[in-house]
Amino acid sequence: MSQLDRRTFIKLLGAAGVVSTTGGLIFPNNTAAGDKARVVVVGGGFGGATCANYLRQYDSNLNVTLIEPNIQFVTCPFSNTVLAGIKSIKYITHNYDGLRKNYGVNIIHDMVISIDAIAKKLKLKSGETLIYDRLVVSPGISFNWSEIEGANEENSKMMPHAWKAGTQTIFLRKQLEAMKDGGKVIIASPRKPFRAPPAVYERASLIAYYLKKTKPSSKILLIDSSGDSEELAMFRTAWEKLYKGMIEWIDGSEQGEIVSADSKILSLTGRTIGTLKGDVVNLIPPQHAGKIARIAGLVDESGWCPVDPQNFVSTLQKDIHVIGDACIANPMQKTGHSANTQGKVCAAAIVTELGGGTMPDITYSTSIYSFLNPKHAFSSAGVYRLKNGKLKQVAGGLSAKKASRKTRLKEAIFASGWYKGITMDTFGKT
Amino acid sequence: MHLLIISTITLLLSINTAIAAAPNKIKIMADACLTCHGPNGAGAGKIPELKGLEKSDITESLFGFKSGDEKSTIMGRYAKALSDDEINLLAEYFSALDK
Ligand SMILES: Cc1cc2nc3c(=O)[nH]c(=O)nc-3n(C[C@H](O)[C@H](O)[C@H](O)COP(=O)(O)OP(=O)(O)OC[C@H]3O[C@@H](n4cnc5c(N)ncnc54)[C@H](O)[C@@H]3O)c2cc1C
Ligand code: HEC
Repeated sequence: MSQLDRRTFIKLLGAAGVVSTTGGLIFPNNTAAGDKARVVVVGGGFGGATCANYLRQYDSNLNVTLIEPNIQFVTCPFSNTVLAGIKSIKYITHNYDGLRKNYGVNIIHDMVISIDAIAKKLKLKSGETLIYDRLVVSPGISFNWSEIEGANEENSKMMPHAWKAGTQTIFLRKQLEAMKDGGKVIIASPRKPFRAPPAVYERASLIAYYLKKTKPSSKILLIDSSGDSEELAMFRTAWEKLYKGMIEWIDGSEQGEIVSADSKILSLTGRTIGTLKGDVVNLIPPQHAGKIARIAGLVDESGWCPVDPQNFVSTLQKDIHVIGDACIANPMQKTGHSANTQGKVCAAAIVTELGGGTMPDITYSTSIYSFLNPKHAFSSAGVYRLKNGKLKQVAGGLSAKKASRKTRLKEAIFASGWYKGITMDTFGKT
Repeated sequence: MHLLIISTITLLLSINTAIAAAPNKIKIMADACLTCHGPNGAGAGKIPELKGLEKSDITESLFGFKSGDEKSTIMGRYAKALSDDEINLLAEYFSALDK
């Protein structure tokens, strides 16, 4: 083919939107002449793993590479049951074999250290460089330690956040186990937005469940920067019944958040609440999008990533999608179910757009189940649709405020089903 | 030149196939159900399977959840978001998945 002919071709194809900016032709279906489109996904958690999986389900001709430093992924969902000694850490640990074997996702266990959005390249810690046609970033959260004087990554072993699951979950569990009866556990939550706010109340509930069984004179102090809500009211009603007098709730909203910490004497100080000392301190720091999102210029002044919710394309950088906790997808809460939904929508949008189409009108769903004890759970659900380019809630809400023991038991059983379903769906298990 | 036109048409056709291969509205919406109902809608723990159910059983459940006549712990909160058309098409989709 002569140069001119090639250009004519590119123009023709360009009209259909399938010419990559590097000038190479991308054939959405792997025709004989074609190059496969390369999609790289950063982060193998709920958002990234789901997206990589569904990209391959929607177009098995795509070349999909998932980059994730850890060989195994420990889920935050159900990690509170590990703190309470109900489930083991093994139960919440998953690997990437399903994605690799069942769906043909290339998996590189490495860390992305920089992204060049203009050259469409990224750099790995090992020194390797990868090129992409489309990039999906799902790095979760990182902690804003600078907002709490005296707290940092190193001494977080003494006051575990356990807001990323794994060794932190084990540290906190060990401290709870070692605490004497009559001890005081402090749980301090950060200012919103942060990962899975209801999980703070689930944590207080399940730690109370453990303490009531083994160290019944112990107390929990919950410093709650989220303030009052309908959801909290449901938990407090249940606490009255199940854990009477064990959980003291302190309003940490309106400037009440923790501003300094002393990991040697296990004390926390807030502007309006003074200094409080505990025997076990679970300090959950303020959060923003995972570090790589900041490095890549994907965050705005809020510390999170603005996106177009139709396809989760960054509004700040070209050809990069951001999904999961890191993105701003209000009013969807930052949950694993939301990240899983966003991973699927993003995958569908990429395949649709590479094929020259536009996304249909669809629903976006999310949920979060919370355990009060192993036989008592309720849920929060949400369904959203795009209206004028923004997500609007069209259905959902909390479980019935008043319900029988049997209904709460049913939800506890369905919560375990949910966990099985979402982890199989996310990690490509069959 | 003829050759160019022919190959252009072939290429554009291949693009059309690509559009056809992209997941449609009901496929995307059905995949959202799998988060809870498990891969291929085969069920997850005690969350019931959807694949291979009779279409009429699925529509009956979903319309019932939507109106509130059929009791549920969570499905009522999801079904209220679905249009009647979407319920019919989702039911058709899941009933067509093999057992
Ligand atoms: C205690 C607790 C309980 C929870 N319970 C629930 C629940 O019941 N239901 C629910 O839906 N949600 C729950 N959540 C929320 C849920 O865990 C998060 O919303 C979810 O993990 C977000 O998914 P994500 O893909 O954005 O991030 P993650 O799942 O955290 O995944 C991010 C991944 O990116 C990787 N990564 C980061 N940076 C890089 C880089 N530079 N290069 C390569 N990889 C990188 C990380 O290693 C990580 O594996 C809970 C959270 C907590 C803390
Ligand atoms: C958050 C988890 C969740 C999601 C998401 C979900 N379901 Fe369900 N589904 C359930 C549970 C739990 C039940 C059992 C009824 C109840 O208590 O709500 C159920 C029951 C059903 C039933 C009745 C099946 C039977 O024979 O008993 C149908 C049909 C159904 N769901 C369809 C769907 C469809 C279609 C979608 C997607 C649009 C969907 N579900 C999304 C959790 C979910």
